[in-house]
Amino acid sequence: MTRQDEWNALLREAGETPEALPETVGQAVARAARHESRSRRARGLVGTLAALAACFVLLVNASVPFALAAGRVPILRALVSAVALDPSLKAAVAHDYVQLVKQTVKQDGVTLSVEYLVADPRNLTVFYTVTDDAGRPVTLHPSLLDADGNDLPASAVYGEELADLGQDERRDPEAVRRAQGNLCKCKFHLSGEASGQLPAGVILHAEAALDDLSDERQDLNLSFELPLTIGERFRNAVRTFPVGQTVSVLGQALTIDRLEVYPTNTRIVWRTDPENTGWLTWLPFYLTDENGVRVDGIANGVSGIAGDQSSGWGETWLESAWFDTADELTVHLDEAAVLEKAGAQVTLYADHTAEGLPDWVWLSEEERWGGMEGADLWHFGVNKGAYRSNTDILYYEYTDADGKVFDTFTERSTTAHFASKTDGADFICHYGFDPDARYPLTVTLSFAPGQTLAQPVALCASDAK
Amino acid sequence: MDKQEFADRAQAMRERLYRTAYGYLGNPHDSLDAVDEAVYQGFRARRSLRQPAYFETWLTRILMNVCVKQLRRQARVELTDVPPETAAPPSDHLPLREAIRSLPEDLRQVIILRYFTGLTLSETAAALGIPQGTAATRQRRALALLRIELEEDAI
Repeated sequence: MTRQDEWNALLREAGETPEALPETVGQAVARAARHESRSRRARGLVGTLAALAACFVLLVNASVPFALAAGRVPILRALVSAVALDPSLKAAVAHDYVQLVKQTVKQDGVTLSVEYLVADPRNLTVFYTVTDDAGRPVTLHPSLLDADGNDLPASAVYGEELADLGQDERRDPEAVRRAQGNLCKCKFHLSGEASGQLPAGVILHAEAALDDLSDERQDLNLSFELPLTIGERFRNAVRTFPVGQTVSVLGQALTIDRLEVYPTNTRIVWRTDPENTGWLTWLPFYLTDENGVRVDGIANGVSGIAGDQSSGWGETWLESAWFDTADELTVHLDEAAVLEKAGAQVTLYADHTAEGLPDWVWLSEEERWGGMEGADLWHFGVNKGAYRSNTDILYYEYTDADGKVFDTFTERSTTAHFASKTDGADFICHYGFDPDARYPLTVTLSFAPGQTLAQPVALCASDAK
Repeated sequence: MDKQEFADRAQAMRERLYRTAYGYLGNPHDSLDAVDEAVYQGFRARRSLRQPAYFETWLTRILMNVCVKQLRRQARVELTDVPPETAAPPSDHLPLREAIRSLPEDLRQVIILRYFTGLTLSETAAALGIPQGTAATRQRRALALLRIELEEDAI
């Protein structure tokens, strides 16, 4: 595709407005009008803003309906802003599913204040601010500990401090001071033995560093630990919808075990048959309820765990169906991708030829990228079919002629993907292989083009309560 | 501006808002979210609009700020369980969406307003509060960086 073709395609896509657009505008106006209306009622109920703030501060470890409804207390406005682009958290805040924390700790001029949290048995979101007296670009690396100080197995999504500042601004203490104090959020997703068992007492551990967007993040040798008590109503919030049905997807057996609905996400738990001839590499589930409300996959953030090729099972994560949905949910699957196991291995030779490439992957000379120094760079062109997400096409490890296993994602084995999200568009995938790896290399594919299912899946499930 | 007038005028320009967001964010889901947030913010701030005649430009600017913030958040959110980031390739090797995102903001604004929002050059200049010549210069520079060639009469 030439640059001009890309341009024309992008403009054409921008003109294809979704059916949901009129409703989106209408709902935004209605939501804003509701918040204004609640603000007026709240002012009438409690009088002055000062009195409102005082009532709010007293409501510890509980919901804060009056204060949230007001929408004019500054710190609450920050909370609404912090969740504006996160549908599940936005719904949680709108329904007062928030715990007030208000804990502050200061060391060496750096102040960490944890203001709120939103939690359920498998997910914890902490809302905090971090400021520095000297206006340095301080950022945090958080982790979660149990009450005894042991690591809790959890993945973390973080890094919002100073997100609006570019490199020059991060080196300007005045610009940093203006930006610091913005409410940030860190999301923890419990895994392993801790999954589904968020303790009542946890410790937020955070390492501080300076990040001015230059090559190296400078460690400050500064860490914080704040104990958090999670309210019981947050730790027990789950609805389970048993499914227990097996369907055929592109000729492969797929069993949907159950849906788990949490206030901050929904999880579809599934598994495949070990006798399947192919791996299901793309399963874009969505849900509807009996009122037609639709719940889609996570667009920004962690979208699932495990996977067919690595584990033979997986969890696909969607936005939360906790609020605003009814008691019967239907699991839908209209598209998928299958990678046949027999044809998944490819041999790469020292002369940059390959054997065993499927017809939707080819060796490309386009978009040559310099890559990391010393890496042996390969370029693959890929036809992605109906697949709409950027992804890796190679499995996370490869083997050389001596049988030595290399990790695809080490410093010297690098990847870069240039994916278009237009249906049927090609994309180019660059891989740099370790120069110490002796040819021929055996790599395993992990991607196949998406296809529309001739028989879409629609499975109904009811709340197990 | 009363509520109904705001609602009517926001609906009337919804497609233009969506195209603008798409120029920044490049996918329908994020673009709808950005339109939702911009309309919400605009409604709450409607009393600050002193000249209703400039409603469309005003709401478009709110949307552009929402989009820029979203892009910056996306660029900095880190996952602990994914592979480390790779070095960024040169901008002229980027696909078009990424190349637009990597433009300096003053150039990106002109491209978005001219070709996604659909404003004329003079409307773009007025929306950004810059001379028309400056808008034309930024447009030429942006198109050169993106390696896009357009016919003279399209500019």
